[in-house]
Amino acid sequence: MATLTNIIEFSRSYEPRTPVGADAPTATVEAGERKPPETVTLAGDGDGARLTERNQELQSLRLTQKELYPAQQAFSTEHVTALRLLGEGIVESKRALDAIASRDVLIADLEMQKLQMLLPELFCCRALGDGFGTLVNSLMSAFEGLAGETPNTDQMRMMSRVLRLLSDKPFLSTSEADEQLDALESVGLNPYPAELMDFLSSEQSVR
Amino acid sequence: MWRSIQEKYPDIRIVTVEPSKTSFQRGKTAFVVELKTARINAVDPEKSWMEEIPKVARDFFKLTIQHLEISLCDRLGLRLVYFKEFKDREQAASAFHAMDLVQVPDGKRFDVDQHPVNQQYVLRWESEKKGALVQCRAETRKTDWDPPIESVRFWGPVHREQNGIVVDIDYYTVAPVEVGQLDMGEWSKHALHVISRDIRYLFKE
Repeated sequence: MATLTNIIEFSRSYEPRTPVGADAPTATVEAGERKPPETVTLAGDGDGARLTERNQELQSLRLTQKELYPAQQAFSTEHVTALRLLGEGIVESKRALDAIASRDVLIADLEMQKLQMLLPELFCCRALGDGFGTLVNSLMSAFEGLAGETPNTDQMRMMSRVLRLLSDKPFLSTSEADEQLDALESVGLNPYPAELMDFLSSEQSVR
Repeated sequence: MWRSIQEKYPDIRIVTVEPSKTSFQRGKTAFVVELKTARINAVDPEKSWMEEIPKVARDFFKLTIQHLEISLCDRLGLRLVYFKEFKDREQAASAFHAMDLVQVPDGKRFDVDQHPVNQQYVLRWESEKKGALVQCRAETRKTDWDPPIESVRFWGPVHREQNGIVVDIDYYTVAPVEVGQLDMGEWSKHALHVISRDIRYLFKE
């Protein structure tokens, strides 16, 4: 609402952060009936800044998944299931690491098996994004590659790190996921499906 | 980028193409990408559109982030503007008064006998991470438009006054969000839920 007496105004603190654009709204809302709004604006402001430059600032300021998605009723099935399973997986990998620290290999193995059992259901949530699907698949392949052996401490740590990353960034891109595949390989895990490796090394792939 | 958006929505049409801003339109929905901001703006959306918005938002922002190689969003925002029309300015003012949002002294004030009109009520909640601005106001909208001489055969002049109450809610993030954390479809559903849950205090439900 403009004032009729012109003065030099201070910047108004009630200026909305989300501008609606130049379109002049015209619709009306009838009494007693629930109607959609006359204007809806959904905005994202990004400057493409490099994360490494702002890492320190980000860690203290950034929104967590809970803060970004605060309404329990608004979650999609995939999102809420993935967060639940990832939470369970993180707990199990922590228990396994604790067991290794107290030299209880049997408990560590049991906890890692429980983690492995979560992965197929987690893979069903791959509609969240290609990066998510890639990483869950790589964990499944890593377990398969171990052929029943208990992962060593470094491998457990790396798997736990991947689960934490997925829990924090379930919508990560494929290139971000690929970086994690390299990290899994660096601790001696094979994050690629055995069938793919067989195919790539066969004559069929050369043709 | 626009080509890939066009693949999803073939009926989209071009509105503005400038180096710093490109905008397209599909029905009553505008898609805008400009320096530092990408935006979807819908005027008079149908009820069904409100259900469709998460899907449209997911597609549009995902493609924008992917093609412009954005790694961090400084801010996300969802703004809803509602308008309820009344017969005249006084009726809109008395409806606003009945909401009991502000205390208005009785009697003559500033040498004016009449009750206040075009009232406004504004509240902002803001933390280091998120914020919301709620505005409620009685508003008079005037449109005075005369068509250019070459168009008078097709359009008549528009001289119209509308009086009503506007409820304007802007829900936004203050802290940065990494793109790996973000699905705009999911976020818009959460934002819509939070707005419709918390705005009820205005109407004393």
